Amino acid sequence: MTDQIDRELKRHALSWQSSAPPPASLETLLSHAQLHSRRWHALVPLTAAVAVILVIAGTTALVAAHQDNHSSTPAGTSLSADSQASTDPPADTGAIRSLRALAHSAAESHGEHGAFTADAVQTTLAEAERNVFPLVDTHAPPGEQVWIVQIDGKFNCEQCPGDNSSDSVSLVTTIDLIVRESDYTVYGFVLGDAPADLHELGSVIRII
Amino acid sequence: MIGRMETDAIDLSTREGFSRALEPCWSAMSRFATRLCGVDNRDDVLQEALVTAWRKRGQFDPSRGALEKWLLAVVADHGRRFLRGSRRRASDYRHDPSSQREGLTVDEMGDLDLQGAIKMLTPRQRVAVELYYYMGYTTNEAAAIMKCSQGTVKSTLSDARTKLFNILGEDFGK
Repeated sequence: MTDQIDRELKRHALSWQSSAPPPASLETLLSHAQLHSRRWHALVPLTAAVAVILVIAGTTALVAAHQDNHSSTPAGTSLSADSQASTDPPADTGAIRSLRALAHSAAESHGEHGAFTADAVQTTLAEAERNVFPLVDTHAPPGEQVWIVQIDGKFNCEQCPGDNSSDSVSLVTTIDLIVRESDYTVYGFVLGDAPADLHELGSVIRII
Repeated sequence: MIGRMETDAIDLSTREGFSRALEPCWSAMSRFATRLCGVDNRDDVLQEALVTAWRKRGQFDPSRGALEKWLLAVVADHGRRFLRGSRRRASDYRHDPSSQREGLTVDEMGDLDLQGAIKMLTPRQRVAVELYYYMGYTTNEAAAIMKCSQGTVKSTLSDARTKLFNILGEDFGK
């Protein structure tokens, strides 16, 4: 009874192949990634949420983090060394507190589903872009230091393909944040199911 | 004389190498994404697939199959996610011979019905149908892309045809 369906599928396939639309532009998708618009689109609410949390908590985490960076021992350097030597949780420095607050805020603003973990690694912005936004040409100034914060759990992704229906939101398992070391603002982030390999960049620190 | 087959080594470690390796596979990736998600959503799905492929490029093992099949498997994963989200819209499809069909030939009307019915398949059935009928892969090749056995592909295709038959009715195509 399904032989007719088999024949019709084959006929339709031939018909479609002869009139198929031209392929997408590989060059365009590789170099002009929509990640650009996506990350900036999502950056605004995330930054606002982080600001609200910091104000409500009455902390001056950004200032503290900045001060830590200029104290006798640079926070980032000592953290990296600590994590290489031990798996113990890192010291609760201003830098870690800031990164942790950002991770919590990002997870919360993307509808965290249950527990999550977060790791961080220190690197340059150019390296971070290559790792987190691998297909986007980077124009990052050389030497600018950032943190990548990788949050693993289950999160909502409003912009992901497949979430177009009003009552369905895609779930993803990873949020990668790029955080400027100078002022602990979020430079950009990506939601997805394929986490960047932070170990390529240096010593990875578990912050949550 | 001893012949030697020259094969270009696939270097996925750099962006340039990755781009070069993708070029011969791109047409198939693009067609597959178009079939699964439509032209309007194709670029989004391909973009996601490219990022995933880049990040997981270390997992590609040439000894287990061609790069094209590995890349199509990545596209299939993202396509399935898209289809899961869009199935509710597809379920609005009804076999309605009266709407917007003036001037169409019998074959064109049949194509419209068939395309609408294909959208009602489960994501797994849809991927199997697209790979086998529209991309022209064998059931064995489709199995490699769908990461399942050849028998599973055959039974999935059989289920898909039965479902299409039930949707379209026994007079379809006659």
